Amino acid sequence: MNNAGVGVDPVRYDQGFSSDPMADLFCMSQTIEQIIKKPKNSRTNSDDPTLRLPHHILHSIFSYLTSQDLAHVRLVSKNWHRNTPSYFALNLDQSLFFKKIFPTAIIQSQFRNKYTDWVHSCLETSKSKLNKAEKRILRIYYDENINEIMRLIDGNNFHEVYLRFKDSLDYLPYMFRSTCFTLLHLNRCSIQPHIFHGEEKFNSLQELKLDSIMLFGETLSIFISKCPNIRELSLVNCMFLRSIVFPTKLDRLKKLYVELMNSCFSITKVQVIAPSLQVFQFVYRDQSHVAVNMDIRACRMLREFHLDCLKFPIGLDPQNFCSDFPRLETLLMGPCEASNTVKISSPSLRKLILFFTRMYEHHVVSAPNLCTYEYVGTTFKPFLNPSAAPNLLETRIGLAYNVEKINRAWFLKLRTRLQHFSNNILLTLCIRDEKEVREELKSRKEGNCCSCTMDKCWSHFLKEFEVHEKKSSEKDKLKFVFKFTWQLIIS
Amino acid sequence: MASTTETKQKKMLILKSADNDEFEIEESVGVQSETIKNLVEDGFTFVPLPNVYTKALIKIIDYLKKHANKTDSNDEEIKTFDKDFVNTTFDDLFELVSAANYLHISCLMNMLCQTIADRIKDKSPEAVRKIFHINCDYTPEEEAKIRKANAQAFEGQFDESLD
Repeated sequence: MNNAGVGVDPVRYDQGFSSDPMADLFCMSQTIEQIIKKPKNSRTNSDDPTLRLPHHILHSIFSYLTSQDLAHVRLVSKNWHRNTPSYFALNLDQSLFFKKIFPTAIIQSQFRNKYTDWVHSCLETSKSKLNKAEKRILRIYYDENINEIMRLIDGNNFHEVYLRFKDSLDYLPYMFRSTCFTLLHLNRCSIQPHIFHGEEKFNSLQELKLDSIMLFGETLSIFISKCPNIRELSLVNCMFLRSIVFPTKLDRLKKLYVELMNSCFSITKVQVIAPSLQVFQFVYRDQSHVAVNMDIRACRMLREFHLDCLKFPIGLDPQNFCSDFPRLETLLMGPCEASNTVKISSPSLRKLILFFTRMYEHHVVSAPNLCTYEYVGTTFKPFLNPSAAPNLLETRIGLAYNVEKINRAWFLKLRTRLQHFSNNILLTLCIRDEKEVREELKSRKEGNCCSCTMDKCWSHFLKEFEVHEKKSSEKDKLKFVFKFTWQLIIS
Repeated sequence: MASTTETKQKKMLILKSADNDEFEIEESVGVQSETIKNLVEDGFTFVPLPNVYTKALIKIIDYLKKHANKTDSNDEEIKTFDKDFVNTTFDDLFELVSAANYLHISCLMNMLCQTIADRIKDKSPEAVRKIFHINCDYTPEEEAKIRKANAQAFEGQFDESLD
């Protein structure tokens, strides 16, 4: 929601009814009776199954989606558009209000009350529309008198609330009171434990995103224990977290995203009891290089697991961690330095991504149903024994940073290794220094290797070659990234 | 299968699917469906279901039987059953949701709608059209108009996969 506040008006409404731009274009092409009476045998693959459904069913399916998902749904077809729930979004942006009405900073402080009055009048004028809408959405950006504004709008029972503060030190005064509150995205603020002291629970809350929030692990635990029906939780760069421990069982949690890149403290413990969890992405970098104690054994439905941290977590058995997740299909392994041999052995695994993984020759990969293998690292090492993955369809190898020697011999060696894999090999190669590659490209042996059966030059199977410009962070220095794609056809 | 109202002590019902297959179930199992309950209250023991095909009816009877025996101790078992129940193709899910709607089984309806919504979530409109074989009936101008109206919602990444 980063750009959502940029508009002409400080208060902006968007709504999904009455002024609906498509409303006049629609006509009911099929009545419910006609759909039901459709004979069973007339179905073919080209039939749209959603046309057979009574409209109110589509509508109830869509009512489970958030406003962002509904934006996609409306684009699918006119039938889908017709059946999306109506919505009303109230966007309050204090900074735009001041810029527009009181352009100088000195006057701003005096007129803060005017802003509150004005929000109040906006609420009055849109009250009936708010009440009528099936989804009520509130977006607040950079509000200094958040306390008053929250009090004003609290009675409106919003479904989705997006709240972005000016500064991470701003406190969230209290939690929204709404009986139909399903989504909360908080950006840049501090959450104090005392706001959860009451008995109040957030039973309707399903999606929670905390981005750049200052809160302690204990506060997070209390917060989450009050959200028994949470389905999706994102924790992005939350400062002060030392632990991510959810002591209560979260039956409905489906997706958990943890991305902590520059945490003030090291995370020591992660404990999640979520039997329905399907996606867990854990991206964690810290200075101290201390292994996290991770207990996620209860998450037996896990389908996608990103384990992207510097040390292999304590609590997971490097020899046998896949066996805890019998439905695992996608695994991303980060550096994950382990003291023991790492064994990736999973009959259900279909996609494996090794992302700068510190794997050694004695590490074992055994995944008979693997379809996609991706390797990103400094030099390619053939960790994956082709016999361990007979169904492999796609191999992507990205070489980034400090590739020391790129020459014909190197390419040939790489190609020989790749020949043992399946026939369709997609190789992606990124090289940092433009000059180096140019020289190496020039130095390749002239002559026609196509007539020779054995010794093909490295460019023989080259399918694609792309150059991308990339701005690096250090003083906007330009860098070029090369992307090579080879196609190996073995007759 | 005889259309007697009682077999042993338990009251039984006969359900007849749209493909004319008949199923005998206990009344206590059947009345979880509002539609069946209303008919039973009107004295019916033979319930024709012209909008429910055999394939869906078999699954739904399974569901009703499982949920009729709900106790505190088999909570986990039912949860696992539900998970497996919805782990099926979109076609089956739509068939089931139509049937559950006709039979008025609200807990099943909610579960199926939530499951379908979860699978649509994060998908791009193009991916959704491919999955359901939906023809895009917008003109490019109409589509642009909606995209513009949606502009602020289009910041996330789409999921292009077709599962």
